[in-house]
Amino acid sequence: MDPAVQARADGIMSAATMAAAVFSQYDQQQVDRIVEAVFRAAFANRVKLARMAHEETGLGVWQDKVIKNVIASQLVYESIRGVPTVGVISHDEASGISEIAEPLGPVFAVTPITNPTSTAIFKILIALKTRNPIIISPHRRSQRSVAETARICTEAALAADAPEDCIQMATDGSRELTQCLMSHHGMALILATGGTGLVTAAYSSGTPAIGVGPGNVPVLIDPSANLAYAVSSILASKTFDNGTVCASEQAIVVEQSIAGAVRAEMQRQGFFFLDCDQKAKVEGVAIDPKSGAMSPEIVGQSVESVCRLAGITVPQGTRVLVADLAAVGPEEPLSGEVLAPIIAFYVGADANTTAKLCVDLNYRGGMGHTASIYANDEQRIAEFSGLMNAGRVVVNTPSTQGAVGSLLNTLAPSFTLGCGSGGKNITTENVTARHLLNIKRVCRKRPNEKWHSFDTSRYLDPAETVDGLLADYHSDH
Amino acid sequence: MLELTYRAEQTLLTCTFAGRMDGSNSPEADALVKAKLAEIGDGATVVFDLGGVGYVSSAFLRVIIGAAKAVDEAKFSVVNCQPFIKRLFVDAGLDRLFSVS
Repeated sequence: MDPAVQARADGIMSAATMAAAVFSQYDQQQVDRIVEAVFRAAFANRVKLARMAHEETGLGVWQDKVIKNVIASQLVYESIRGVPTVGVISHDEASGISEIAEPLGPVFAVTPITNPTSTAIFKILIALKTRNPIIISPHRRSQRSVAETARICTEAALAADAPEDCIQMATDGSRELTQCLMSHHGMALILATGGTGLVTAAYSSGTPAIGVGPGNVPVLIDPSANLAYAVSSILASKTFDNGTVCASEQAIVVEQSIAGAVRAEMQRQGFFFLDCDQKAKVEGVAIDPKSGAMSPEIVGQSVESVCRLAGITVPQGTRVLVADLAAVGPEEPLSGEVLAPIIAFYVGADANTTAKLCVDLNYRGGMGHTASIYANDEQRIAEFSGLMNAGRVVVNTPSTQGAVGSLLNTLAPSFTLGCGSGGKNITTENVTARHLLNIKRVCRKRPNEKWHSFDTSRYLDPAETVDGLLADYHSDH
Repeated sequence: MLELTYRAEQTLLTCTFAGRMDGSNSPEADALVKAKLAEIGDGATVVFDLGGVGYVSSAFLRVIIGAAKAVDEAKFSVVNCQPFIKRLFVDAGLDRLFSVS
């Protein structure tokens, strides 16, 4: 390890540790005052930060980035505002258990290029709400906009009497510093939102981590669905910020019986089906042939940019490019995640075939993330939900806006979507403030009467039967 | 408002703080401690008595660390902390640099 990098990491961690110690004295009112001040500052700068992120990264649509900043500030704030996060947060007399919330300690927050300012705002708010200092490491192509976000939030936090260094940036762009901070003995948690490599590095660091990587969201349009609505909803989701959200739809799957109708509706609403030659060209620019993963150049680009890069011409007004695919896997590179207005289209002979296609898509890089279904048949919704390896199955909802939460359902608004064991995560939930707490349980004596009235020496007798022991253990209660 | 009394006995400086030690009074505390140390000169031993302190800010932590560094950490100690203030020093890892009790 370069001594200079180590010294820089030690300096950041020393300051963060001091901030954590000071923060531990704050009561709920003080914390809530700080969080409100930061929310107000971030919310007031939503347009400026969105424009900065768009100009710096060249990704997405600035107006949609404003909406992301609104979700990350206003909606996140409103969702955590009344949540107790300091001291005794619950007491149950019957069980005799009181819960005491304590901070974790310094949190290392990695923010992605796709949602830089919104993810930073979100992570800052949930960290401060839980009295955890935060160190932000942005993607190297979004450092300026994230640094400005942090500056605005820090200024507001300090004005509200937050501890110094409760928000820090790690922005020298070196991978070494990131790794050094991730594995630093003083780091309490890594909140990693980004690519597979980054998430793997977070999990390999030895520090507890909530890492959220890629998705590959299949969307099943069932014959029972309102087809026109389903298509318009997918369009709204897939075009939002040029498809940069990892919960956006990646493949539409339909049965043969409705394929023609869906295809016609899609064409009517601005989806353009690529021919073989066009598909090959788009594939060439969208997928890195060496890794088989999406090419960074394509992420968050408009249809016009994608077409320019691919050297193809499509009708004016095209909103999303569609590739007809027959298989799922490396032989069809566009069957993986592409965070751009490009979507795959599959037709299956029947319900079983479409269900199996969705399983294959789900397991091709999107395990644990998000799946989507349009249906008005509860049985089909239940079957699909049971099949998918997903933290969230969104129903009759644009998956981008649905998965992020709070706009179209009651999921917690979040820019870090837990993917469970499928995505090597500890949780399938939308990560929010309560994931950044140590909950201490104070347990008052409430004896287990069955245990105490039972002759436990009988457990030592191998001749006692399972049924006999259980019957007597539970009798007379 | 700074609540600080100090007692200098030859090379021993005992500073007794009370109340809330935050950004409003820490600079004054810092200046006073530095002035007293300058009077004593080399070889000073410093004790910070925090028995009456109910809140410690980042600014006051800096005063403490600065004083500890000024005299050699082995000759610096923090005493009479309330339990939650003691835990704060432990959480911050400062008990590994100087004595905290």
